[in-house]
Amino acid sequence: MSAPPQAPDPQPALIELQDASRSVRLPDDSLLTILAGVNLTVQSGEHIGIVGRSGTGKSTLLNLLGLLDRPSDGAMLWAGTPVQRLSGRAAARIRGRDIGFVFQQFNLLPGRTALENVAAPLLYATGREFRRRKDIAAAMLDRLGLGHRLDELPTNLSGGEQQRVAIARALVRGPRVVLADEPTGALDVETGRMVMGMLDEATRESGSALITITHDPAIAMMAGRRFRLAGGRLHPGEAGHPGGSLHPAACGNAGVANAEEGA
Amino acid sequence: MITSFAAACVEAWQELRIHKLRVLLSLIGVGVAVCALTVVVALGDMMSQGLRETFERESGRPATYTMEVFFETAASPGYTAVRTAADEALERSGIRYASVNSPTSIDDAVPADGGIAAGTGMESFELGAFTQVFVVDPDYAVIHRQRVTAGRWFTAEDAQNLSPPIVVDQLFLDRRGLSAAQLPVTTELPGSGGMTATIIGVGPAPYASDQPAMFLLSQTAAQVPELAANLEYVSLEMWLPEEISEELAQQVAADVARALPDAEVSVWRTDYAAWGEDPVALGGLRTALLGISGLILLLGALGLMNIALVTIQQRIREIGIRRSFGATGGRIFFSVMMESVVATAVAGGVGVLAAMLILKSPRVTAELERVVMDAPPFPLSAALLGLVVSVGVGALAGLVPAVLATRVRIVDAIRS
Repeated sequence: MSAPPQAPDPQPALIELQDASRSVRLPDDSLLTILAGVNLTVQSGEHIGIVGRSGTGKSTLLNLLGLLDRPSDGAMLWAGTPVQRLSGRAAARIRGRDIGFVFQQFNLLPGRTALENVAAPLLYATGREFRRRKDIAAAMLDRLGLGHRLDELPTNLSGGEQQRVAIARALVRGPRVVLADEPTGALDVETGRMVMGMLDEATRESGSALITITHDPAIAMMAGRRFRLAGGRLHPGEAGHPGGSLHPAACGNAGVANAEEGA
Repeated sequence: MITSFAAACVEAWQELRIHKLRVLLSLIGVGVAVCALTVVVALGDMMSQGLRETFERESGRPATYTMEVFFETAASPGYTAVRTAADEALERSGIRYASVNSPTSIDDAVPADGGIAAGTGMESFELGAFTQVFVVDPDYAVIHRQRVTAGRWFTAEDAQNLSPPIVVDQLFLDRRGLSAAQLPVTTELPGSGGMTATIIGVGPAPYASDQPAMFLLSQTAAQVPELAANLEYVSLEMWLPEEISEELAQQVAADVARALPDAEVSVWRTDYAAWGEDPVALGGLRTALLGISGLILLLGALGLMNIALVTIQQRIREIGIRRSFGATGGRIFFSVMMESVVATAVAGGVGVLAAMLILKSPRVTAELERVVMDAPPFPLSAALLGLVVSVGVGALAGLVPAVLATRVRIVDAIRS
């Protein structure tokens, strides 16, 4: 239920959910609880995998972690600051600067080239970051092996390439945490594994925390810590691979282990 | 702040570049609406302006007062004495613009025996033809917006000329087989029994008529017996500041009455606005035109909003993605508004240009000139109105989609 004990650290955790719940009021005035009593601590640079089937509250958890929503009960701290105290503008600023999103459907902006897509978050930056947005975006795409595809439109890119553009976009402002929502859901197994490896490696290089929410236990297994989301509650899963390396064998084992766990 | 604005411009530009078809549709809808509105407003303004100028040519600019001095029981001391008394009174009251306005008509018929010298192009003269004569002073041009199309109008020094100067209309020239290019040209002064005069200018007559028209100075008329009779009854126009016109007019009349104890002096306002109502306001017609313009605009705005709303539905995911990058609600609102305003401003500019081209086309100008004497220039106010309205429509039509865009639930939008 709760995160494993942490070594004493003077720095506050990056994200901390303390008995956080999220419920919504239905038209008939009854209360529907989507998440209940969630405890989770995310430290800087940590990789976490959360597995859950559809309807278990994955989106809601993603909303909370991405500062797109607030818990209705309990507390959530962002770098030690209760999110309830953050204004919408402050939350948006943190989201732009410190949080990168990777989505299942890539969600590249249509009609914009790969370079324009990666430069898009930098339109919300200021100063040098804004002025040099194209150079920064080009460098990030180059880092993900797409230096030769800068001017391609998303429609001319393969699924794997599109997701790499999306990863470049998520990382371009050097976020403190990357939230990946079913990042391999729209890719075949092989491409998904390759893309996930890139995401894993890129976040490790940049020191960003990575929280992957997926229904695929094999993907979740890559994380240092993993959890299982069921019925709106977060259950600690088995320890993953501390190195977070994506070894096919490890993925296979993880898949089996989780299948058993799920059953 | 500057970065935010620059970034919003970059976003708006990308959006317009990508959605060329939508921009084009907006351009067409708003452009046509703004064009229609500008045409209607400009046409109304041009008609008003044209009518106003026509009225002013006929009856003087507001406030024009006419002072009449006549002698019923005693003999007149003569035009010069009356005029001197009037000029002194005008000077005392500080009135700058005053002119005799004594229209008459003289029989200018060519005698049946062809008594007028042959070979001077008089063939077109007809029996029983009259010439309208306007006995005036140089200030008449100011008071009545009288202008010349060739040559020049009178100056104060012209009264000293040995050959009396006259300004005539085109018909007058045509009747004598003369052209404006020949000015100044000498001709016989109609009704003078052989005096010659110099035509110094050509300009439109105050009233549309099939009789030729001629202006001459009051000093000249006083020396021509046939015309001098007309000046026994002195009719003087004064152009006065509207706010104090009545007091000034009465003051001048009282002064003249004191100077000429035998005279009957009366003064009253004679310009077209004398009855308080502005006859060129076009009344119900203007209201109807504005109503039609409003409807056209409403249709344009509805079409635009329709397109914008449909687009927003398609763009919700994109807006959600931008929100995930850290775009605030305000920033999204501004971007969506900006796109709308940028597109409609361009469309409005095109619409105004089209309206100008339409109203300045020879066919429309010819039609306009059938109603007013001269088609006035395209009113700048209509062009500005067209532009302001197009920006306003862009802002209004952008408002609803922009508000909707800020209310998007981010993750739902992204997953949609």
